[in-house]
Amino acid sequence: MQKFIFLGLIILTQFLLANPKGYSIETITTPKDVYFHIAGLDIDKQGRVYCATRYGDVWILDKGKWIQFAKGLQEPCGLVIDDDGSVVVTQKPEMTRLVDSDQDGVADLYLNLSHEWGFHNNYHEFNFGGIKDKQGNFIGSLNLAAGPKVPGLKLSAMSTEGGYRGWAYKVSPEGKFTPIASGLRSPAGLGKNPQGELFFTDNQGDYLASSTLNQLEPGKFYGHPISLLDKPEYNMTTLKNMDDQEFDKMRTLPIVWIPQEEIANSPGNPEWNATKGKFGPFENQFFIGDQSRSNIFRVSLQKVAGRYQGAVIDFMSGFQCGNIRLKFDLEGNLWAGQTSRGWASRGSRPYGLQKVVWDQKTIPFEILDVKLQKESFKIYFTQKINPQDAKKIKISRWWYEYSRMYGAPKSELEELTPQAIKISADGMSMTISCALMKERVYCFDFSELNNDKLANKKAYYTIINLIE
Amino acid sequence: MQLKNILNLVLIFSSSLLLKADDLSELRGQKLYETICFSCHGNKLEGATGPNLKDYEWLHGSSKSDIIKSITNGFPEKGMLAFGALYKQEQINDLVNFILSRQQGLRNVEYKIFHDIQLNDKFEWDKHKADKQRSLKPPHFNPNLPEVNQFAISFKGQLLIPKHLAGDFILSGIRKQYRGIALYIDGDKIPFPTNKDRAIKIPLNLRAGTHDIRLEYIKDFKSTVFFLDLVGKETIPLTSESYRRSITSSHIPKAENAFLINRKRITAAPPGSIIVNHMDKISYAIDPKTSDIKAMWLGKSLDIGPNIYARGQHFAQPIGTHLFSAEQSINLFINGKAAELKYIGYSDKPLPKFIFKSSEGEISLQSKIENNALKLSYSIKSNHALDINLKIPQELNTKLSKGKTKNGLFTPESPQDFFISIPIKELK
Ligand code: HEC
Repeated sequence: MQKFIFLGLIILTQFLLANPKGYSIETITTPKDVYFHIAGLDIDKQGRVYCATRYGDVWILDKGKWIQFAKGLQEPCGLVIDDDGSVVVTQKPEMTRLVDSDQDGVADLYLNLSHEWGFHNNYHEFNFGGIKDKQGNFIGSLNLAAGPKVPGLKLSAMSTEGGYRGWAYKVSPEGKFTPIASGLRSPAGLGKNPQGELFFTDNQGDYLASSTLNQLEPGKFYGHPISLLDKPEYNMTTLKNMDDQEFDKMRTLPIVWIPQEEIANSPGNPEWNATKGKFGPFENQFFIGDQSRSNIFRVSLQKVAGRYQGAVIDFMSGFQCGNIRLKFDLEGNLWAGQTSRGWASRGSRPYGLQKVVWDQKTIPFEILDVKLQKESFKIYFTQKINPQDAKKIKISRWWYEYSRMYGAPKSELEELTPQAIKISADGMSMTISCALMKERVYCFDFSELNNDKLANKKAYYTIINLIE
Repeated sequence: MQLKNILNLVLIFSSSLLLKADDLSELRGQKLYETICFSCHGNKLEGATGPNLKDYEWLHGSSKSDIIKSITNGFPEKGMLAFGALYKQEQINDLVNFILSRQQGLRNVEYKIFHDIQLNDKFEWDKHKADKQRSLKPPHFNPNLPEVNQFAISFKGQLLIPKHLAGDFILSGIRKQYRGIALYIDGDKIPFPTNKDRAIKIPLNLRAGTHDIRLEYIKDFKSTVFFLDLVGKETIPLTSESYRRSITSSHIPKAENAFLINRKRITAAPPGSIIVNHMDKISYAIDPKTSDIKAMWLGKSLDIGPNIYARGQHFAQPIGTHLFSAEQSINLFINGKAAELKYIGYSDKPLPKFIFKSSEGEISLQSKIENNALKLSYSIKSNHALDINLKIPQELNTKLSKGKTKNGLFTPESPQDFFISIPIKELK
């Protein structure tokens, strides 16, 4: 009887959370009495799951058994398994290669790949990683410092004492350190697509109105100005004397804005779905977890006028803790490494590991994708949309102003009336003509649909460029 | 005097006698506790190697008979003796009375979540059916539980105030939203500041015993940061964030019969330094950017608690006596200059060994315990003869391999292999 009630409650919450049908969350037991705040996650070709914990360990889950592979690290926030079986972790002060030289299943060499950046003992100076590029370089991103008494250059909330804080960098297999791009704030997640292009998410805060997904490209500046301290043409005084409009002109806009409180507040790594259908209909999209709202959302990309922009759609909520790391395993299950320490997250657990499993048959009713066309948007669904329902769409648009304020509300928010709605012959997509404008986030809202089958009812498309 | 009053008097008198007997038992229990139990369960029952004995969580049962059983039979496989073999029945009874008299904080908390309730909704808590209702474990108020964006949540339970803490408290905390939070103790609403002040500081007087406590929370501000503690002779956390912060006390990794390598922030050494402890007897901090030994202390390694709880804003604390002052360090000189080294990494098998390269060759530094001393062995591989010196703090008591020492500068007879040994016994 008790079991029955418990199950009933689970179904109830799943229903309330409007999660996609056919997907369920499984919880993996972590080692007893071990602080298991996961901030690095990778899975090898044998299906072994590697977790780096903020406590400083690396653990491997091998056929249901946990093995401690390494320990004593300084808050590693990224982990990637290299081709030779060694493991590269980004500790705060060092990118380290962990080698099991005597093949007993436990690392015995902790080799320094690079420590060429500035680390000044500030708790916020995270070093994110977990990605290897096509040329074999290991990619990292260096968080800015924070705190009430933090020294260094501070124009708003965050601070730097230099040494490429607020930069992304690469380290060659031989250990050569090269800074790549600047203007990052709290870039907690790195990712790549099958072509090997690199991406990062950044967390809302000063100089960042809402969280973002960005393409990581050499030489670019993404908006947080204090990172410019490491460029020879600037110094403390010049940067303090510049105004925000000047920085605004220099910055590269994101691929998508991720609306605060609606989709995510603290996004983790973008994980590309190349599971060949093993994870359902959402192939070739990024899945991203949120550390604060404990959900997972999707981003689909579209290249317009030579650069990416795209759509954000929520996917699943109700995890036990904040999702900071996602990784697909070989069977196409999506694993989520979780932590809430220091930054509260929804859910009942302080840390943990869960995975999302698709039942391999149910196609949930979801907004699959949104693409910009020359004079309209095309919205794709995973099932047929009822033409009557389609008319109930609401459209709004807004933008996010650049400023040193800690997060910013939507600006120039307005409702739009669709000029024309056309359902495709197969009923799987609709074309919506409406006033188009660049540098706007468009929200397509199906909340009025009166159809509970559609689990996530909103899609957000960021227009950076229009199609000429 | 009426009979009723006399009866009352008798009752009061006898109950005070009863109380006295209880008090005496608790006092005897406390004495006993302080002779042995404290070493594993903490001076204030807060827990160390053994679990906390005053909070909501009981691994082996919370009833009086459960606790008697725990103490009598012990947990020999986990290090706690079967105290039944050592103490009389009455003594164990005293211990249990003492432990029970120290129970504190929240118990039996239930929460109810109401979806899609806004602050301006004129919400009547009793008239709505909750979307979710459960008991809360751990029992600390947690407004982050709801999985929906907009909600109201209520918590209802008991607050235990033990005798030794009863009296004045400050209800102290931080909130992100200034509206939508109401706390009731024994039915009385606690007057939170009505301005936008984020800090809460309200004096309260709480008698010993069980109080009814209730929190009502309607989400207003986007994030639900909420700290709330009762600060008196001890601090009693009321919210989950406060509770998580309260377990920051201490966390000391142990080397036991081996060694331990840990990379944590300490003030005594530069950022990125690596700390090695041998057998919980002696530690050193090495700066991998230079190979300098920046600190050395006797005793256990580090309390990394401040580094691994909350955001980790605080420094880990070396435990024990430093063997040389902060400005001092052990430095390697090659051909008369501070060695310019590239840090290759370390190995932890079979012993801690740090490996460096320089234009002159490969240098390694290995540590172990030998003859109750920390032995740091340097090995230098080079194709040509090198002039090697080690600068050693003069305040450090050492034994050195063959060589000459002048003005704190040691010149080993064999520059390929030499050592410095720091006796553990000879405490300064
Ligand atoms: C050497 C360390 C040590 C000492 C000394 C010690 N304990 Fe324990 N105690 C433990 C450990 C470890 C456990 C937990 C066993 C487990 O994890 O199941 C424990 C468990 C208990 C429990 C059960 C707690 C629960 O959560 O159910 C009680 C009660 C207890 N001890 C009381 C005492 C008392 C009273 C004394 C002194 C007479 C004492 N202990 C001395 C280590 C110790």
